Amino acid sequence: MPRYLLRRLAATFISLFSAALIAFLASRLAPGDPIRLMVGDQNVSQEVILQLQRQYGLDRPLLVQYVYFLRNALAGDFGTSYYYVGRPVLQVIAPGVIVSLRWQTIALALAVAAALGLGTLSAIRHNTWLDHSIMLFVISGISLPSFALATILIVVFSVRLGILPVAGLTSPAHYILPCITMAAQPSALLARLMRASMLEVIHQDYMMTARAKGLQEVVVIARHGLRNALLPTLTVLGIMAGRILAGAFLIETVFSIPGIGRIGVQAVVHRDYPVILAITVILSMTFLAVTFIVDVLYGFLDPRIRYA
Amino acid sequence: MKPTKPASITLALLAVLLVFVAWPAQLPIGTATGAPSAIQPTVALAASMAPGEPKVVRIRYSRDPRTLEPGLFLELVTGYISKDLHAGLMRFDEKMQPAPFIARRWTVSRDGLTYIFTLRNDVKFHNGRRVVASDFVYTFTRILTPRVRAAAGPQALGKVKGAREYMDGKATDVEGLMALDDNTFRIVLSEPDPSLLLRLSTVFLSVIPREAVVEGEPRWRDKPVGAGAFRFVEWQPQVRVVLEANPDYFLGRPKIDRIENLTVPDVATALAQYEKGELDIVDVRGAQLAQVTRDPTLSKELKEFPRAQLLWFGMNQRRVPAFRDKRVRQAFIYALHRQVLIEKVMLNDRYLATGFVPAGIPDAAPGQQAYPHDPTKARRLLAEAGFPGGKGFPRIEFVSTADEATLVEAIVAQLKTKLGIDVVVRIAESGDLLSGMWAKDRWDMWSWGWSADRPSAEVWLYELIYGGLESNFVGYNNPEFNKLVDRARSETDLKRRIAAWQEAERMAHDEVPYIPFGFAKFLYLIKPHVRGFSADLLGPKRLENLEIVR
Repeated sequence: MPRYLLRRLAATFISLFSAALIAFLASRLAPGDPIRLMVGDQNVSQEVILQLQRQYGLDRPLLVQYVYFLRNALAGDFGTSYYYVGRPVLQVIAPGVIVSLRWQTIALALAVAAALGLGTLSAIRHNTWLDHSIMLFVISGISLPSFALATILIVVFSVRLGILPVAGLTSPAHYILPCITMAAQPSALLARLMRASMLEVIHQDYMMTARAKGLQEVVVIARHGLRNALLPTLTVLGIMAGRILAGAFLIETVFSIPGIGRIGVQAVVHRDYPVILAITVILSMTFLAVTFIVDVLYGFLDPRIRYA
Repeated sequence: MKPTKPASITLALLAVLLVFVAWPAQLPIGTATGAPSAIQPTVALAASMAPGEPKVVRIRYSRDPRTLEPGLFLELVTGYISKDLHAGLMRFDEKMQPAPFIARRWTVSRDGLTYIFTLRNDVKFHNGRRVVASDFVYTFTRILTPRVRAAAGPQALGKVKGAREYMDGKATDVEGLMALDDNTFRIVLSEPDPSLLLRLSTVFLSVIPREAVVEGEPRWRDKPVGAGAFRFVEWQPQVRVVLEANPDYFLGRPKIDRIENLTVPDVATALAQYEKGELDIVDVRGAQLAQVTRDPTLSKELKEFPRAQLLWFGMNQRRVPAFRDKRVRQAFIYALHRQVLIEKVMLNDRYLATGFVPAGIPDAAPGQQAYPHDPTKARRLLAEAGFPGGKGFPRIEFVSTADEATLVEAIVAQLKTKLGIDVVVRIAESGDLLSGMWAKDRWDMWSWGWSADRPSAEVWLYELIYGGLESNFVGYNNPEFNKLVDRARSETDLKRRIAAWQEAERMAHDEVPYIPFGFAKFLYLIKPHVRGFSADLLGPKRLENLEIVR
């Protein structure tokens, strides 16, 4: 296991380095001059533009800019934001990271819990009205885009019924709609997978053995069935995590959540290079961490899986 | 029974989750006291209307301000929020003319080089200290300091004597800025600048106290100190900027207790919050305008105000030589039925442009008529220019952002059918469009707007049309027009200056270097219980007279 962890750590660094390089090149080569965007519609002379470019280091060759960025980033310094004049990048994104991690963790937990529950129930009550109802709900969840669901929820629960706030994240009630919106699609996908997985597992010999031993059905399902059915679901969850986190910016925009997704979108629109790079590194680290956790969990769930 | 390993892991994860949820909410990056804010989340206004409850007005903005230091950027949201925090020498009156503010009165020398301002002696910063003349010396010097990166500095104060030497590092102070005593501030210019008083009336040249900047460097901008009607309380990035009434404001304490400037990027969400009572004032634009005008309640609460922003179409003479011919440019404007486009496509979110200078700007040419829709004349002019029926006219790419795609499709359709030319639409991201515009060699035609930071025809007639200027995006160069503008810019007599600008505008109107499409509007939904909110040509007026009426 220690050798496996070391190998994973090395691979993580390589992935992070590559992600940062790609983000750096993409942001620099994309059309749009951050200094021009900074001054917007102001009739600013070319002299002032050149001065600002010098002050922000944008007059240097790309390679030099990259070396400076890498050197500073390794020391934990991502520079200052172009949009928020003079503010350190970490100060810009740190609150957003905490906000996003919090609400997205809740949403993911909700998605997993819903998927486990619905998928298991559907499998146990296979081919009954309950199974069909759950699958219908699941298909709706998969089909409806998150921005459409968000709008529907806001109109129904916030505007018409008035029982939940529209936007923001300043109280527990504020978490409900964005977390449901975020959880809907992944829980639907995972529920289908869980159902298929569980259907395969509940007819296995060891399940019959467990029942033959006189264990209660709920114990048979929970202890023997669920654990084995979880493995494929976990794999997909690890792959989906990146997509989920990336798609969160839409939800954060609609619900006015001051998370990393919204900050990232603003940074891209305004060509705030330092913030773009920092967010890329952080999101890459998050995705790699989630994948790593999933892999380690494998080992706990299935003792047959051991990493050299 | 001993818990199994998976159960232990699950319990551990649940514990982490609980701690995570219970972790303190996002802290503001700046608060007036330096401690996390004790301000509770806003509640629907109805709940806050009980006696003794603070009177709060919640206003929506689509994005965060970039800074709360007014001199750094001529940027809209910064200006809208800063105007309530800060005060300057002057401000605009109802006729958009410079009026006394911290300066009680001022004199200008005959040669137009020396300005002397006599200050009020009852103005205090939010930290309690009196505003004195040396504070203006400090503020304006700071704006000219290269290290501060105030892009607006050279433009606003570049003609102050010694400014150039200071910016180049050849002097340690700016010779033309001087405090004669605590109540008298003098500016000496190196050459006349008739627009100086206009610039001094904008929020961007508001006064700031040296000790607040030095104490708070480098993060003082997150806890700004000004002399305005409201004091800074906190700034939660991407969430809100909160201001509270300044009891020592020299023009009297505001009637409301607090302003919450909320960042809500999605306009549909903002509208839902407004309907639910979570917002009191929301700016409306785009697709939501149709929804608002159809709703019997919302349509009554929608208020419009003229705005000093010209929406125009560029015709790049560098890329399309045919645009150098005035007849071609006039053919294009005659071919477009702009009024119909504004009514049917844009739902009257703007006024039809009658020229280049929006109505209400003091030096706009009065009585100017908009070009009528006249396709017959358009075809005749195009034929006279050598392109009968559009034959031989080069293929044009018309570039726009996605939110104006419908408008541009309609424009292109009109040009094709009325002129017979080949025009296609290209959608570009706004940053790309802006960069391409400044590069000057990427776009044939495009749609953009040009806003004023001060109420002067110079904003459009000089900045957009003067030959050789960086912001002349279309490459138009007419020496006669340039002479007119030079005369207007240097004229120190107000009446003669206005006359010169009006003459320049009439020439621009005839020459059509750009197609002036519309003069923008400010469109706001305002709750009935909020009284006193309005906007002038430059944006929302200061909120010191706002009140809540039950």
